Amino acid sequence: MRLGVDVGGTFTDLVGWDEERGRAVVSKALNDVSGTTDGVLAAIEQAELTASSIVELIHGTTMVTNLLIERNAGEVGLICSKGFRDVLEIQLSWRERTFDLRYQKPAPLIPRRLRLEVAGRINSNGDELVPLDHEGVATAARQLLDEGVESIVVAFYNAYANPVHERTAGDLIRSIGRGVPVSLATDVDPRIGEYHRVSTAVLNAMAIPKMKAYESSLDALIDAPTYYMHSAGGMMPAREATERPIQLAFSGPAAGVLAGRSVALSTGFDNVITMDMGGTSCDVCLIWQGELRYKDHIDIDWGIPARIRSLAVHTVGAGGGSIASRDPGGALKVGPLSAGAVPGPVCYGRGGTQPTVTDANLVLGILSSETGLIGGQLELADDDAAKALEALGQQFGVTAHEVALAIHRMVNANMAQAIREITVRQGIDPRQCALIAFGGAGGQHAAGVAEELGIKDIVIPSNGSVLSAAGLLLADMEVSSQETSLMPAEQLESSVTEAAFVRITKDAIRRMGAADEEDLVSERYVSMRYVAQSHELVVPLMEDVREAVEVFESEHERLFGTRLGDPVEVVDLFVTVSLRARSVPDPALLSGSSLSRTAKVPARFVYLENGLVDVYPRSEVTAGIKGPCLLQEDNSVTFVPSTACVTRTEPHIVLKLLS
Amino acid sequence: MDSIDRFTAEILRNVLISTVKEMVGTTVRTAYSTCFAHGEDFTCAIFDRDGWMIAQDQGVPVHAGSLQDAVQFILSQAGTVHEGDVFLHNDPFSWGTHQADGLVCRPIFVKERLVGFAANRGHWMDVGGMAPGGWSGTTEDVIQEGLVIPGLRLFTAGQLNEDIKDLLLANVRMAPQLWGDIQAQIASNIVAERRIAALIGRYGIAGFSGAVEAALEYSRKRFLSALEAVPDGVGFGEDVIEDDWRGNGPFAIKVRLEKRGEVINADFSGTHEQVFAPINCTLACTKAAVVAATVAVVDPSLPLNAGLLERIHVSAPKGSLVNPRFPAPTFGATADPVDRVSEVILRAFGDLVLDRIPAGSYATGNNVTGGGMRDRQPFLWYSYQSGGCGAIAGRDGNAAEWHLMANSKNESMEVWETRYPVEFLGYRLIPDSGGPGEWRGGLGTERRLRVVSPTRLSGISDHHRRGARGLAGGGDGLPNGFFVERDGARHGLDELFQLRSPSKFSNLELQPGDVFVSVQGGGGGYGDPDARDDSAIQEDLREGYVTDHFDQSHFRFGPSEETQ
Repeated sequence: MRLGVDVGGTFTDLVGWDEERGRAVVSKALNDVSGTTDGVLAAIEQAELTASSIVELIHGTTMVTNLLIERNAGEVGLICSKGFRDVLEIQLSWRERTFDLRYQKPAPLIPRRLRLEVAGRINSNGDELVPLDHEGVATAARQLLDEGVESIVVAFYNAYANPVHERTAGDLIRSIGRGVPVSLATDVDPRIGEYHRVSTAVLNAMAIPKMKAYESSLDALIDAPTYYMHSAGGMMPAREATERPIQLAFSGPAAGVLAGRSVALSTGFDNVITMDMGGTSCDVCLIWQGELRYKDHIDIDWGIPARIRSLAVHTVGAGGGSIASRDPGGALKVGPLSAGAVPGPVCYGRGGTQPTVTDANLVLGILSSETGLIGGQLELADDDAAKALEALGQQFGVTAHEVALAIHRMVNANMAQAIREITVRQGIDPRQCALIAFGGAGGQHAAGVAEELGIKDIVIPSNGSVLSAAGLLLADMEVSSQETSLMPAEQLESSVTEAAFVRITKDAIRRMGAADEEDLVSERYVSMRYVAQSHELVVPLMEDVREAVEVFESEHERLFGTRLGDPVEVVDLFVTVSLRARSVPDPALLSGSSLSRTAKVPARFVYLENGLVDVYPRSEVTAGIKGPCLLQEDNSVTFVPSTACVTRTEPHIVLKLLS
Repeated sequence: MDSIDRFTAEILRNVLISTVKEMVGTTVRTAYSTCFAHGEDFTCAIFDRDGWMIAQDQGVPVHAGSLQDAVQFILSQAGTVHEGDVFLHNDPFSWGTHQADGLVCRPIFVKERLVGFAANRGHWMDVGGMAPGGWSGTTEDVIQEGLVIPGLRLFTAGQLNEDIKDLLLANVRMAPQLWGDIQAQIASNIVAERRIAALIGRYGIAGFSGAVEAALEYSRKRFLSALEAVPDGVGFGEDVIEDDWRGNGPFAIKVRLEKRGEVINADFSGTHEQVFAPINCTLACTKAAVVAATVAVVDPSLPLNAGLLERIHVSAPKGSLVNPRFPAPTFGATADPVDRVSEVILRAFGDLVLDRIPAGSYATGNNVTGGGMRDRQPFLWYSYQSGGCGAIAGRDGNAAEWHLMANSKNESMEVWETRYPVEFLGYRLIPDSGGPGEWRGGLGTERRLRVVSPTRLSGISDHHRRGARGLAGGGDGLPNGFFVERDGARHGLDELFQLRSPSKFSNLELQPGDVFVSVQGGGGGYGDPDARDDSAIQEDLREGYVTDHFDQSHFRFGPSEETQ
C-alpha cells in the first residue's frame, strides 16, 4: 500500500492506494499536537492499516511553514563576512504599510549577538581579494557553540561567485564539532543576491532541528521509505527534506495542485484553475496546457524571503471562516481575518460572535442545519447565524438575507480577483480555463466565482475534501539544483556552460539519492532577461539557444506586452532531475471509496434563487440535472445555480454554465 | 448609482484598486533600471475623464496628492485627447515634483469613448543636467538640472512622435535605459486600459461610474470619520534646511496647521524665500508632504483619491522655499526639502495628538550619484539609503527603515558589483546612533563602497549638522554624514574637497581605491531617557545596539567614539 498523508492545520488526511488489488482507502483524523506524528498514526489506525502493509509513505506537511511563521524554530548562529552581519537585520528596508507611523519591521531571524563576522573576501569574478581568516572562523564558531546555538549557518558575501571560503569555513567548523549541524548558504541557495541568500539559508537552518526530530520519530514508526512533497510539487527523499527543509514551505498547497492536474487530465481539460477553499484561505493556481507554473521565491513574512522553487500558487484570505464587518469607510469587508475552527463561525456554536462566510451561506440556504457539516458530526445553528447577520445588516440598513448575499458575492469577488492575478495579469484569459473547485468550501462558491470570471466549465472532484492527500500519490520524484552564471545568451553553448550544467546535474542526482541514473529525466532551464533589465524569466533551454531566446521573448510579450528584440543575457542555470514511470492511480478511482454516504435530503429554500431547490446526494447525481440544485456530500456541498447544469458525473462531476 | 447596487459598486471599487496594483506589477517586471525594478521608485494612479484621481497605489509618498494636479495641468494644455495619445511631463513649476520624476500619462478609451486616464510617475535615472543622475548639489537655476518637459505628446493617436523621442534621448545619459523605463510606464498604462475596458464590458459604463463614485465616497467618508478623533485646533511646526552649497543658511520652514471640522489647512507663511540652490520644495512636493503626513496621522490605510484630497488645503507663499518660482533649482525637492516639510507637519500635529506622532527621523535619502567611464562605456549609479526612524509612544524606532516620505527596496550589493565599478566593504547598523529616550530612536546605517574606477560624485542631503529631533524629552539621533576613506584615514567631504557644505556637492573626483562612506543617522528618542525600562537597556547592551561607552541619560548630541 502506498500512502499519501497530508498533515494540515486541523486535520490529517490519508489516501492509501493498493496497486495489486486496485483498491483505495481514505481516512481523516484530528491533529492533537502540531509537529508530532500523532495525526499520522491516528489516520493510519482509522484506515485500519498495519505498519507492515505500507510500502511507501508520501508526506505533505504544513509543519515547516507553521514553525517558520511562528518563529517556533531552532536557534541559529550566523558566521558571515566582515562588515555584513547586519544585512539580515536591515532586510529590504521596505515597509509594509507606507503611511503607518507605528509600523514595526519584523524582528531579525537571528539576534545580533549571534551574528559574527570573519575576514575574507571574494570579488564578483570569484577571485580572492582577502584570504579567509581561519583563526577568526574557529573563534566565532566556539563563541556560537558556547551560546548554545542549535545550528550554524555560514554565509559569505559574493560566495555565489565562488564558494571556496564557505566550504573551508564549513569544514573547519565541523571539525570543531560538538555535533551541531553546519550549513552553507550556497548549498541551500547558490544564487546572486546577498540578502535573499542568507535569509533562505537561515530559514532553512531554523527548520532543521524540528524536521530531523520529526523524521526520526516517523522513521521509528514506519519501516517503509518516506518521501516528502516539496513546494514545487515533486517529492524528495527524507534525507534531502531534513537537510533542506525550507523546500517544504509550500508543501501543502502543492499536493492539491498536482491532484488538480490529474483531475484535469481525466476530465479532458488542458487549461484549468485550481481553487482550494478551506476555512481560512483559498489557494488558486493556474495549469496552462497541462503545464504547471512556478515562482522562484516565497515570502515567509514581510521582507523575509525564501528563495525556493515553488508552484505558482496564489493565496487569498477567503474561506468559510472569513469574518464579515463594516469598515470605517462604511464598506462591507470580508476577510482576511478568519474565525478559524475556534471560535469558528457563529453557527458552530463554539463561541464565535462575528458573522462569517459560512454563516452567510447557512442563512442563504446553501448550507443546512439539517445536514450540518462533516457528515453531520458538526451541527449548525440557524438562529445564531441569522441574529449575527441581522445585526451586521442593520449597520447598512439592509436585512440579514441581503447582507448574507452581499457577503457571498464579496468573497466570490475576492477569489475571482485572486484568479485574475494568476491569469489576466499573466496575459491569460480565464474564460479559456475550467475551474476545479475543492476543499471544504470550494463547491459552495465555485459557480459564483466562475460567473464572475466568465468561466463556463466547473469540475467538482470526487472526494474533494481529501484531494490533497490523493495528490501526494501522483508526485514524481524530483530534485532541482541551480547556480548563478552571468553571461550573454550566446555563451550558453560554450563548454564552460556545459560543464556547469553537468556539475549541477550531478548535484541534483546526488541529493535525490537515486540508485539507477538511467531512469532519470533531466531538464535544463535558464533565467533570462534583456541586458541590464533587473528581473528574469525562467525558460526551458532548448538544443538551439536561439529557440530559448525566442521563448523568452514571447513570454516577455505575453506577460508584459512588449517584445524588445534587444540582446538577452542569462543569470541563473537550473536543472531538475526527475524519476518518472511510476504507477499513478487516477484519483477518480478513489471515488469508489467515497466518503459520501449521505441520505436523501428534502428540498430547501435557497435565497440566491429565491425558491425551493432540490438536494441530490452525490450517489444520485446524474448528467442532465439542471440547476438550481445542491449536490450534497458528507464533507461538502456544491451549489448549482439556475444558469448551470450537470453534464458529467464520472469520474468527476462537471458543471456547465449556460449564460 | 442608479443601475448598480452599493455592494456591486463596492466590489468594483476593489477592482479599481487592484488595477493600480497591477500597473505597479507591470512596471516592476518590465523596467530596465534597478531604480524601478528593485527600488520601485514610481507611483501609479487612475483618473476619471476630468482628471480627478480615483485610485492610487500607495507608491512613493512624495508623489502623493499632486498627481491629480499634474494630470489636470496636462489636460488643460492638451486640446482634444485622442485614443493612443501618450503624454510626458516633468515640469517642476506645473505640478512636477522634480525633473527626474517623469510622468507618463495615457487616456483610457473604451469603445472609442474617453472614460479616464492612467498615469505613472517614476524616477528616471538621468534627464541631463550638470551631473550624471541629476543629484547636483551646486546648481543655481533649474535649467542646469536637466531637461524640462512641460507636458507634450510622445505619441499622438498611437503614432510615436519620433522628433520628440530623438530630442529627449539626445539630451540624457543612458538613453537606452530611459527608453526602456518609459516603455515600462506605457505598458502599465495599457494594462489599466485593458482592465477598465473589461470592467465596462461586464458592468457597463454605469457600473464604472458607480465604482468611481463608490471609490471617492468611500475615501471621503472614511477620512472624515477618522478625522473626528483629532480635536479641532491649531499646531505649529518649524525646522530648517541647514545650508545651501555656498554655506549660507539655515533656512526656516514654518507651518501653522489648523484642523477645523472636516478640513485640514496648512499655511506656510513665514517660511524663508526661495534660494538659488537645489533645496527648494516644489509645490507638488509640499502638497505631497502635507497629504502624506495628514493621512499617516489620521488613518494610514486610507485609499488616496480625490475624495479626501479636497479636504486638505495648502497655502504656500509664492516665491518661498515651499513654492518656488522659475528658475529656482528644485532637483533636491523630493529628498530633504520634502522630508523637512513632512516633519514640520508632523510636529504641528503633535500639538493636537502627541501620542500619534513619532520623534524625528534621519529624514534624508542621502541621495548620491556616481558616474564616469569604464572601458569606454559610461556608468551611473544612484545610491539612496534608509536610516534610523523616530521612536513613538510605546515603542522604539525602526532601524534601517525609510522615513515617512519614502519607501523603497534595498538593491542587492552583489548585483551592483556586477554592474558598476564598485566593491562594498560593509553595510551595518551604527551602535549608539539612536536618540535616547523612554523609547529609543532606531539605529542608523553605514554603507562603505570602494570605487574601482575614477568616479564623479554628486549629492544633495541635509541633517548633516544636527541629527533627528527627539520628542517629549527624548534625545536627538546621530546626524547623517558623508565621508571618504583615503590613505587609511576617514575625511569629511567638506574637509577633503574644501566644500562649504558637508552635504551638497557636484562632480567630486574619487580615485580608484577611495572608499565612499554614507552614514544615515539615527532616529530621535521619545520620552525621558531615565524612564527607559531596565530590561530594554539590558537588551540594547546585549545585542550591541548601545555600547558601554554610551551614557543614555546625558547624551544629547554627538556620537560616542564607537560610532566613528
